[in-house]
This record gives sequence, C-alpha cells and structure tokens, in this order.
Amino acid sequence: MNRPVLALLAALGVAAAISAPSAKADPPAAPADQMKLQGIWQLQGDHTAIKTTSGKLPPFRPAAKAKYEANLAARKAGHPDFDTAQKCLIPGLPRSMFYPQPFLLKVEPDQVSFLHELMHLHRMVYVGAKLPINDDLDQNWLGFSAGRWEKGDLIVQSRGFNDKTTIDTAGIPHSVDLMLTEKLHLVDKDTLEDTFTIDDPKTFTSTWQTKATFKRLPDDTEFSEYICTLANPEAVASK
Amino acid sequence: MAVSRAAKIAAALAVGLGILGTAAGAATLYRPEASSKDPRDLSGVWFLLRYNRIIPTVDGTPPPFTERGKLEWAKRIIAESQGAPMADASSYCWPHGTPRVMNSPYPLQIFQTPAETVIAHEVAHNTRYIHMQRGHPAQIKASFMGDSVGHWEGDTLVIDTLGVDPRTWIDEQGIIHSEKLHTVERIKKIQDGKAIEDVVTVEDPVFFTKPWTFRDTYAWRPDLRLTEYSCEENNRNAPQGGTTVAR
Repeated sequence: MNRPVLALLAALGVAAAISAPSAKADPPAAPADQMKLQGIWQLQGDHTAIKTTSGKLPPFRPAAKAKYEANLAARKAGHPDFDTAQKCLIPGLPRSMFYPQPFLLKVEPDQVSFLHELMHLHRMVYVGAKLPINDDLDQNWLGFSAGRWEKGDLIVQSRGFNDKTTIDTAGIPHSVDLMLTEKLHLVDKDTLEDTFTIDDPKTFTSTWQTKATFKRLPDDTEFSEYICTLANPEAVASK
Repeated sequence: MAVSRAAKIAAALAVGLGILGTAAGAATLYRPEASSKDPRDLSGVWFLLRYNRIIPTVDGTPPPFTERGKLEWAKRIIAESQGAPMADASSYCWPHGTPRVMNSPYPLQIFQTPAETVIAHEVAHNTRYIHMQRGHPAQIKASFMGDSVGHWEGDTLVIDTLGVDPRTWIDEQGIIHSEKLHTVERIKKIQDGKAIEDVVTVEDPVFFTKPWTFRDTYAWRPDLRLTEYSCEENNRNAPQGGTTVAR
C-alpha cells in the first residue's frame, strides 16, 4: 500500500472520528403527561357554522361581513362556489378540525401529528420549532404548525395559509395573514378540548376564540379510506 | 491490486464522508443521524433511494407475465409511446395503491402505535394503515390501498395486503394487477439504521404465472420534513376518457 493512500485513509479516519455522532442513545419518548393526548379522537357536536365562545358571530370587518353573507346566500341558493372543499381541495385550518371523521393524534417528543381519516390528510406540528414569519412560508392549505407544551397542554401556532379556504363550512372568510393559535387541553382522559384563537386583522376587528371538543375512540378504531374525488372526479378534472 | 483496492475504498469513503459532511454542515437535522437503535422502531422520515418508473424483479428481468399480463403491459407502453398514456388511479388524485405508493420519489414518514403502523406519504397525502393486531377479515371490501395487516418476524415487519382496487397499478409504466393481487412486504433496517429495505413479493394469478419479487430501499432522512402535496389543487394530468392529458 503506498503512502499517499495510507495518509488519506488516516486523514479520513480522523475526519470520520470528528464527524461521527458520539454514541447517542435513542431520543427519549415523550413525557407521560404529553402521551396522554395520543389516541384517536372524534369531534363532538355540529361545527358547520361556528360562533365565538360567547355564542356570537366573529367581529367581522365590513368587507368580510359582506363576503360571509354572500357565502351564506350562495349556499342557500345551492351554488356554494366559494367552497373549495366541495371541489375536494384540502379544507385548511381550522376547518379540517371541524369534520366528524376521526383523527389519530400521534405524540412524539419533537412532533405531534394529526393523521385524519378526512381525505387521509396528515398535518404535522413541529414541537419546539420556531414559527417562521409569514413572508418566509409558502402559502398552502394547512400552513406550517409549530408547537410547545405548557403544563400538559399543547399550544400550536400556525400560519402560512392561502386565502382559498373558509374557517367553517358556512363560509367565514380569512386572509393570508391568518394566524391560528390552538390550545389542546385534556379535560379528562377521554375528552380533548381545542381552543382556537383566530388572529387576522385584515378580516376581523379583534382576535376571537372558538372551541371544539373531541371524544376518545378505542385505540384500535380503524379509518375508512376517504376518497373525496371518487364521487366527482370532474371536480378535479375540470379545474 | 491491494493499492488500487485501497484507493477505491478511500475514494468511496471520501465520497461518503463528503455527503455526510454536507448533511451535517449545511442542512438542519431534525432527528439523530441514524434511526432508533431499536430495530422495531421505524418511526421517522425515509426517502426512496432508487426511483424507477419501471419495476423489475430482483433479478432485473420483467415480471413473469401471463399472456394477458404481457398484453396489458404492452398496451400501456404503446399508448405512452404514442403520447396518450393510459390513466391509473393516481392520475385522478386517488390513492396510488399498494405497492405502487412505496415506489414514489417523495419522502414518507412512519408512525407506530400498538394497533397501527402508519405510513404517511408526501405524494398526494397518501396514508397507509397497517393493522398490527388482527388478520384479514373473511370478506374484504376493495380499497385503493387494500387491507394491510402486519406482524413482526424477528426484526422484520411483514405486511400482508389483499383487496387492492385494480384501478391502481404496480409500477408507473404499466404493470397492472387484478382484484386477486396479494403482496407480502418484508421491511427491515439495514446499514445500521440509516436505511430500510422493503422486499415485496407480488402474487396475482391473472397477470403473473408465478409470484415475483422486487426490492426497494429507503434512506433515513433526518434532514427532511414532509411538505404539503395537493394533487387536487392543480391536476395537470387529469384524465379524459381514461387517457392522461398533459396540460
């Protein structure tokens, strides 16, 4: 074996020693109080036309109020063209949380994931991640979600949304500046409450809150294959 | 000979370390550089190592087609060469099916609970549920992903799938299947947890004269997060009359 090769191997050996990870143990599992949120959850009650926690309509700015009323009228007339979810598009947030299809909430130390039966959506919450400013995010359907734990509650902040979705089925609009904060709180071992704080100064005169409650289903509950486009492939094909 | 072999090893090491160096230096790592030391913990993000539109057997040969299998395969190759590819389920934004979804050039993330192994795919937000605590029911209602049940044999996750809707294909080019498709996947960690392999045995007496096997490998990707993929938003290839149309 010639010297340059030996020297190279030696150098690589050193490089390998430097770049190799120190013998790391597996990352720890999530703490027990966080793991309590893991499970299969199903929405309780009808959330097609949501109200604030005080039972009122959200504090619309005038243009948003006009848009909301136009959306209500369009649905009443049987032509809810504003409703992209009818065209099998991802319903966005928080609306994806307002469907009766259950979701598996999977808790990992660095990630809490919503694996929905609805449209087989998956929405990841990155625990401990820094929430980028809106300008640094693509505008998409489910946005980007960063989470943190506070005394057993999961606080999730999401933004980076497009403005093609509505907040509920009825048709509460929002802008691309929507910032959604959720507090997921375990009321008891089988009851999960999500408090949504909606912050979108272009659409509303102040922030407002709404709540949803979810009941735990058995851990071996199986999801059906949810195919939106099967009923209406033209909804996709004609776009 | 010895020198040249050593030189080759050195060169290979240099390339390997170069890649690692890039991953460690430039990219953010969200998870450790290798997957969990537990061989049965597959959780995390993985990415197909060698994407191939055409799935060959492990021997590199075409699958052992029946006459009908050969005919349907040829029909699809000819249609594609004439600029009018035939549509499969994925063209309609329907789930890609099993095993086709495992051969997509997009990352996937595995989640495990006692009851389910879940594979969330970036591509078209496909999600596979592998039921870990039951066998197949006597009657299976066909679905795009089929009915998948899993169990561990040593450190290998064995997944048995039946009831796959025949509108899905096996590969992207034109190997198709009937409602009699039966696949057995054997997934295990390789390369000290930096990769997994999926050895897939395909059985379908309508399209193949005997079972055949292909193998995919996936790299551990601690530097990746799944991003949003909405097929429905802008399906540029939405089929018309069963033909995929490019727009």
